[in-house]
Amino acid sequence: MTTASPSRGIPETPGRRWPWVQGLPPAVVWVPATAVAIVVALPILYLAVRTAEAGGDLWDLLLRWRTARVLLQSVALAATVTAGATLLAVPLAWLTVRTDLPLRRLWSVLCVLPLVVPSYVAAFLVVVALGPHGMLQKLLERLWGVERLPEVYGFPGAALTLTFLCYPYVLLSVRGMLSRMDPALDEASRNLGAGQWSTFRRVTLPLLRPAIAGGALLVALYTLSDFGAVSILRYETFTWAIYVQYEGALNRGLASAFSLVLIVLALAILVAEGRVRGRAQYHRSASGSARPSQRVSLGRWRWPALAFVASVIGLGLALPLGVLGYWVVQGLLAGQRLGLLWGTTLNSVYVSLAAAAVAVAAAMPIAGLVVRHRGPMSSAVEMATYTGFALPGVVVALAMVYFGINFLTPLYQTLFILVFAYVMLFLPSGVNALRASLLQVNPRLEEAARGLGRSPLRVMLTVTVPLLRPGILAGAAMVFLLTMKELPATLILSPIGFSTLATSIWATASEALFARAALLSLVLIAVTAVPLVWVLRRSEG
Amino acid sequence: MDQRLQPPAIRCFGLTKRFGEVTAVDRVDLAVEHGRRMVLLGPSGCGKTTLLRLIAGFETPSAGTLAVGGQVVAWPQYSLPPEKRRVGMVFQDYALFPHLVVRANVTYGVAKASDREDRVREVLGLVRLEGMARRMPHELSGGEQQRVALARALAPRPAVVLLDEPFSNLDTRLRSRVRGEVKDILTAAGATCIFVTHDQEEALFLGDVIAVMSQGRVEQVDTPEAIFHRPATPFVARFMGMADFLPASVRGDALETELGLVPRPVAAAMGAEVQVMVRPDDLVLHPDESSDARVVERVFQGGHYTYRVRLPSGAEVHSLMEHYHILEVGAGVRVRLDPGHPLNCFVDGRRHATTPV
Repeated sequence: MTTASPSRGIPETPGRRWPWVQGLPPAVVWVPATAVAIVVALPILYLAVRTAEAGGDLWDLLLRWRTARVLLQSVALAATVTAGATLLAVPLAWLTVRTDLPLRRLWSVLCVLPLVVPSYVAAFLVVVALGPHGMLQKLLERLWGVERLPEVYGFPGAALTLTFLCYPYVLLSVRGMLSRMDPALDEASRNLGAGQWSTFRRVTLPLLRPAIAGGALLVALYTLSDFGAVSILRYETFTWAIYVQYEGALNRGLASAFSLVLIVLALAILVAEGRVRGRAQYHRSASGSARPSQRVSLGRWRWPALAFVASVIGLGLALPLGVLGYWVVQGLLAGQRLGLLWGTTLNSVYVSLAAAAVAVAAAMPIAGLVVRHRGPMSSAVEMATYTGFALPGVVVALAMVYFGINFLTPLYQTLFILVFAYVMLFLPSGVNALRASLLQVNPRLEEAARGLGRSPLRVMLTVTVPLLRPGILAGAAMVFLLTMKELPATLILSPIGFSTLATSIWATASEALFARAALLSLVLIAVTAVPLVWVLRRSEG
Repeated sequence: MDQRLQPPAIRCFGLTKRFGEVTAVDRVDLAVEHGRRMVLLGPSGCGKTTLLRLIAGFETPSAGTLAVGGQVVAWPQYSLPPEKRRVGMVFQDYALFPHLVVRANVTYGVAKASDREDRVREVLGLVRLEGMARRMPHELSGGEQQRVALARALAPRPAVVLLDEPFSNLDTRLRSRVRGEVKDILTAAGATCIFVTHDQEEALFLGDVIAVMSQGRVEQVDTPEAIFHRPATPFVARFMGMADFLPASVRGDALETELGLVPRPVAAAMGAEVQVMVRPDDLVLHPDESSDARVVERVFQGGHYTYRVRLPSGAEVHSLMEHYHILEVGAGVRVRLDPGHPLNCFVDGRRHATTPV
């Protein structure tokens, strides 16, 4: 391995005014990237301030039995959901990428779609369908006189709901890796006498480990930060506990103590993911002619496989949509008025578009820095942007309330603060999409443009950004989707009188206006699904 | 057992592979005897890699049959799974399992656990990588990865080893060294093997037998010497080295070309379309300003120059001259045909020697 020393080829200019600038990436990249990184790290600052205020009480709060219980419950939920999501997602990914599963292309889009179902909607459905006096129990009572079902409140309901909502994170990550994997590795294994199953176990699965770890990381962090499902299913995790503390204005100190533990937990998960990922290099071994891998023939396993895929999609997507539709019809038949959706829908779309645009714009210099200019600065910036992954919406929103009230009074109770919070939360998704896309843009192209006399900024605008288009669109679609569904930050930061689909669903469902909540949910799901399906179809080619 | 009584290691009958409209491999008949090295040679897109993949079992033939060691393993729409064929393969980019150390890569195909220890020692010894068993693939140089791939392919004692453009990922200097090593290793292992390459020099070096392919067809199967000196078709002649073709007409017992008379082969009847093949070393140039033939290009190649000369008819020929024969571009030259051996000529696309039989 040959590494050129950094100074080689750059003649030292005597008396240069900014000697430290020499090693830096171009200013158009690092200045905005650092600025964004500092801004998104603000919630950490907030927590530091709060913690300092709590002072000596903090240890007292942290060491309470209640904190330990909430911690254990959060960890148990995150672990269960992550394991369940992985067990669903890996076979699904393999079946939809590598095999001759009937209707493969249709399934491959459908099985990502549970991503668009908000967790609070899913949780309501679980309660109403499976809960006490729910639809299933009534049906069974009519048939066999069953009067009680196993409890859905608490751990089982929350774990089930979140597993079915979260598996697409692992699915997308594993699927990406599977379709990029060099088919020659499979062929080599077959050539050496290993059968299909043995090849999967000995070659494919180990190679998928980093992708599984990456997806599992997202699931674990999402589960820790989820608010909707745990609050509706009454399972006390950190997010719910923090929100309750905030709502009841009970104890801000306890809320920030919980937030701190939550962040430490998230960091621990990040570190664990890094360990699992390992140090082996898992890239395509050479350029060569990229042959599409041959589909595995399922043979007599065709129908069991199809049944598995269909039942996952049935439970994760078809059943929720069916129940929602049923409620809407019931409500209409009962003569309920369901109008007045346009304003709310437009509000949702409007703030989500704004968040997507700002997040992608902010992600661009960061992706540029992280991919093209590796070094201590880019690592620090990358870490800072991942704050959003680790922080739940509740904490970010509370930080924004704090800064809004104390420092940015004119902006408090405006949409600026709301969009700002969304960007903090979902910037990592934007950075991820752009980074993946930028990794595929050959840096020689940029160098060629520089060689043709363009400045770094011009090169970025005329070469890099146009080539990044797929990544930009994918990132924007992802941020849009997440923003549409976001609940706790929206609840806390929406200006008075401003309602989105998410907050309206929350409000109407709390008032048990099921038909109306169902209609709002269907609208939300439909609007959110559009960009996702579009991006999925594009990436399928 | 007498080798001649054994069925060939590989035998194809009319083997054909179509991808939609495209016929990648077209009615190929081939046999590779035990312990021989065959090279499939041809330009990119000629179907040689597809043929290799048919033999390995990664593709199913559209027509024809394929036998490995006398056992028929593929016929139209049927293909014995690759893991049951006992055909080893060295992939173009090696395809070493990136998550396994060298040892685990090599033992991957050895079924019996009790054999593994001996076999690893044996094949790593063969490729002289005994000390590397615990390394990860990305910690090895290109040449070492190549040898691990070879060791891995040999470990399960396959009936045949296939090598797909095995040297294309190595830089030029490394290539010639590794090529020699691989040839020695395969000879030492007594392996039957099939190489795929587009490099004619490599083919001449490696092959006991060369099969030249073009557009899915095998144009000629022969020894390296025969392929070079007695090419069956103009395509083979051009592919195996620089060759020019002079149109000729039959005149009595001779063929008349722009560069003079050559003996006439029997097959060349009056009025047949005849072309005489000349290689650069068959032509000698003499400075002659009165001649209408002109030097149009001079390429310096160290020990010699290659001159491109335009003849009065407009046809162009190449001539190889020692480095001290210096002619300027634009100079008039007299071109003398001085082969010192019978020339090949093609009558209606088929080769004949210019010595009357």
